[in-house]
Amino acid sequence: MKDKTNDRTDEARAGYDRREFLKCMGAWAGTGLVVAMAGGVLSSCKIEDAAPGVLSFVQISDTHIGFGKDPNPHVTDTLQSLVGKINALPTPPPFVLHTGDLTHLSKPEEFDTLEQILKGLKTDQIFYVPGEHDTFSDQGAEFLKRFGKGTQGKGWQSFDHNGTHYIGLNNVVAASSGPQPGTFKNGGNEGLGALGQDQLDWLKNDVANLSNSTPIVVFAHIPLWAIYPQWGWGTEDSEQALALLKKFGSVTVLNGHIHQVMQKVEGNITFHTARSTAYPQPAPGTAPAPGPMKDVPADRLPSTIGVTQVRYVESSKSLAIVDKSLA
Amino acid sequence: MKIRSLIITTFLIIVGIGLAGCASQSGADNHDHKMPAEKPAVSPANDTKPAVNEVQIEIEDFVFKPAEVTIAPGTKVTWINKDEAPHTATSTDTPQKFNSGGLDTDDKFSFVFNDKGEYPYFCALHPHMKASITVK
Repeated sequence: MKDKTNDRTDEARAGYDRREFLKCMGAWAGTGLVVAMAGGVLSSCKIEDAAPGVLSFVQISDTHIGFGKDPNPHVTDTLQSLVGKINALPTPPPFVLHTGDLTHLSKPEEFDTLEQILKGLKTDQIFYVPGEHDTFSDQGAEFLKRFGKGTQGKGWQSFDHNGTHYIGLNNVVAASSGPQPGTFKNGGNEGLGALGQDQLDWLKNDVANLSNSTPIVVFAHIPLWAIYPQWGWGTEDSEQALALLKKFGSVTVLNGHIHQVMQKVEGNITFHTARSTAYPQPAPGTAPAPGPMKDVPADRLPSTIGVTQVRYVESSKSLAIVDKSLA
Repeated sequence: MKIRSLIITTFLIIVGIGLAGCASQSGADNHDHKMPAEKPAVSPANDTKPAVNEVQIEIEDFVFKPAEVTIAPGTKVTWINKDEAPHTATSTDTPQKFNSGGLDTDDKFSFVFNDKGEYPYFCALHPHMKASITVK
């Protein structure tokens, strides 16, 4: 199978810089964009140009079931629509990743609704990591009861699929539990996400025996790179986790939390954040606080929410990331 | 000036309201004063036993306003969430002293602080939101 993304020459890839990428992102609200990584350089093509039949998986994030205000009083409807879009993919994804904030307030009925809607997904399995909205009231007990099957510790996990190693991390519980003396340098609360030593120890063992050529996909709720620490958009001990992954030739880190698409490439590691299926949040520093953008007009909302599709690009051993909005 | 006002305020049993211009006011309902967050409740150096002590802390733009509050024992603190996003007021002490749980827009949570001490707290949903209550 050959993805048209690979038809682009290396020169073309190199010429497609971040500025163009971002410009293209803006222009592509509605139809999606393929972003492929090759040698740490971004390239892109329209989603329609990507060959069908290529194995891929889908990332859903920040469904926030229970949210009911502007700009989206109908988050279950928009999620349902996105489930329909995923089910319409030419090749059903073998699995789906949910990168947290399933619910808005961790209420049992919110978890119920989320489960009910995602039962309609045409896929074999859904893997979940929690967001802080799923864990703040009970340290994630309800989340783990429902979605923690097969996970370790507070909900971290790994699995292999088609030669790629997937690692799901929980970076919200260590942060939302407040200071834990001895865990972090300033009492465990820098205002950022946190993984905690137990999880880092587990990660070290988890990747110890993998060959360096194994493609790695990490998924977690809060970004594992410092996007905007003033708003808590980063993970306190992410550097320790990334150090354990530096030996691998291809690492893709998928996060949610910030309700907008952002990407960064650092060496062999590509970071990517997904849209929410519920509502957008402001770009870093463009608002007094990172709350919902309540003034988004109804006709523009669909272009601000969506899901992410990740595709295997076989010849380059990299992954292509497609952000699909609801529009 | 402020010291003088403080003393007056103490006698008038007013906590949690702006200090200026309060000399002519008294009563238990003054926590509804228009400037509740301008000057947090301040406990005088000498101990008194106010009949009604109430303080309101607003959560706005992901900030507890005011973030630092000093109150007398027995003061009731009420948090109100003015943001579109939910927040919590969660004690960071072990064992935990208080926890509002999730506060959606305009939700309130109250807690009466009877014991002297420092009470740091944060928002469990947004851990960079930190604040504290001092009871003395």
